[in-house]
Amino acid sequence: MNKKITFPELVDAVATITNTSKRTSETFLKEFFATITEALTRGENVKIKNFGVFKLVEVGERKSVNVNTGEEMQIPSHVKVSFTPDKSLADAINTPFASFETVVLSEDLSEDDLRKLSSYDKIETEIVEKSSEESLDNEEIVVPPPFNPHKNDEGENFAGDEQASEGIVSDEQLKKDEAVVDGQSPVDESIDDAQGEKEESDEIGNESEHLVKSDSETIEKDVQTVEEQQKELEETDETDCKQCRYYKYSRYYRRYSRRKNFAKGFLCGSVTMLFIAGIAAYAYLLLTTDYVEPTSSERDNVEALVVNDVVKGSDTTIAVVDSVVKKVEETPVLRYDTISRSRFLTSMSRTYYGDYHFWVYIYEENKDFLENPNAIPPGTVVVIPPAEKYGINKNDPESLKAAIDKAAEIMKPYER
Amino acid sequence: MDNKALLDMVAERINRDAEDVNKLVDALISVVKTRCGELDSIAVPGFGTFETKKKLERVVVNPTTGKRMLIPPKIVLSFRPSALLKNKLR
Repeated sequence: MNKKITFPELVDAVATITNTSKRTSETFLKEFFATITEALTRGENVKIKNFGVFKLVEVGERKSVNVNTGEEMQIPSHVKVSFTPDKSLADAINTPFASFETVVLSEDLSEDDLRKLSSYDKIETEIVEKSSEESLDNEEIVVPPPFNPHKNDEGENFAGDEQASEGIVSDEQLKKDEAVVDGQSPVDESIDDAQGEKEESDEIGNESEHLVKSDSETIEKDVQTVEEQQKELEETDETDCKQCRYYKYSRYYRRYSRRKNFAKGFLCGSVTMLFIAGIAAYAYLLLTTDYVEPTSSERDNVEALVVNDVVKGSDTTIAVVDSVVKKVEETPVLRYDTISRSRFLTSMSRTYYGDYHFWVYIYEENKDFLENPNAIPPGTVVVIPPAEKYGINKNDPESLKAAIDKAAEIMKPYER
Repeated sequence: MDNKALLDMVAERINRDAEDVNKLVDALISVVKTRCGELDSIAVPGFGTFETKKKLERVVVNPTTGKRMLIPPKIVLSFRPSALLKNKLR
């Protein structure tokens, strides 16, 4: 960078490249330039392949003013050397600015606009001067694909269905179980009790069946009340107690577990809904607003959210979250790039496809929100389509020609 | 003096075949390419300096069509002959 390379350094560099001794390369370089000098002094032009031409140019006599004394003086005609670099060398040196193209200015551009423009560009070139890396600043950011809302919807439905079906199944099962439990315990007991009562009453006599019936009814009621008051029952009735305790326990356990399941499901559902809503909002933001790049903190937040969800949620949540995350991961990684003052569609095309003519395909991929390809606001993020999508091949002249034709087509409405 | 004549002459002066000289010239060109690509300048005593210059962008008018064109900025390789070479040419 703005370093002056001296002759010994040049000798070293040439020697290392050609694998020769320093002495050979030094004598070669000396003789080489001496030969050129001799040829030039003889009045010949010297042409070196892949390097350039040293030409002799006649400069005519002209008048000038001595800067110190202000005296007028005559500069005699003389010969001067001009060097024109070969195209390959010139291109190699101009690589930082290779993406720029000559632009035809529209008529209605005022001088003020131009001045502003040139001041901007001065600043820009200064920046480029400061560091050559600046000009190569590939703002290539491989962003993980934006969370696709459609995918999320699927995920949501899937999650919701799972949740719902699970809930229904468990509810139904529980209800059945409850019914079985409820049905078995009081009825059986009442039957038993009623039978016992019957036998008793038979022993006493066949006097009143109504009484028996009413007795059995009361007993049934009793049993039910007893069932509801577990402790009393446990203390008082041993035989009933065993059964009751079993049923009670199972029932309470089920009720408890059902409540727990419900809470679990509710938690899962709400957490996944929140998560998916967050992703959807995030994706929506990413897709619609100015294509703001996700800052690392934002992404961290999302990740933290995911982690939180996993921690909070039960096994099912983890499974659901995993499936959602997997789906997101499976989508192909797209490349993005940001338009800036020194980075246009053409320079992107050059970096990604090897030739600036293919910018039309980047434009094509993003034409939903791009308008004049010559006036894209800096900061616009564009998707870089994979080269295969449009059959981009820089070595194929037909592909190149197609791109050039397409460029003419795209530029048509913007030409004046 | 074209490329071949120059290389032959150099080969004769350093007692090497043209092939070796060709390789050396290629190496020299690649050095100039890389170093000047990094905006460095290369000084050869008694001959001159190869340096890069930044040309600002400018607006030119096509004299035939009257259209104004914005020529982009560019970096060019320029050669500044040394005083010795200048004196020899005079």
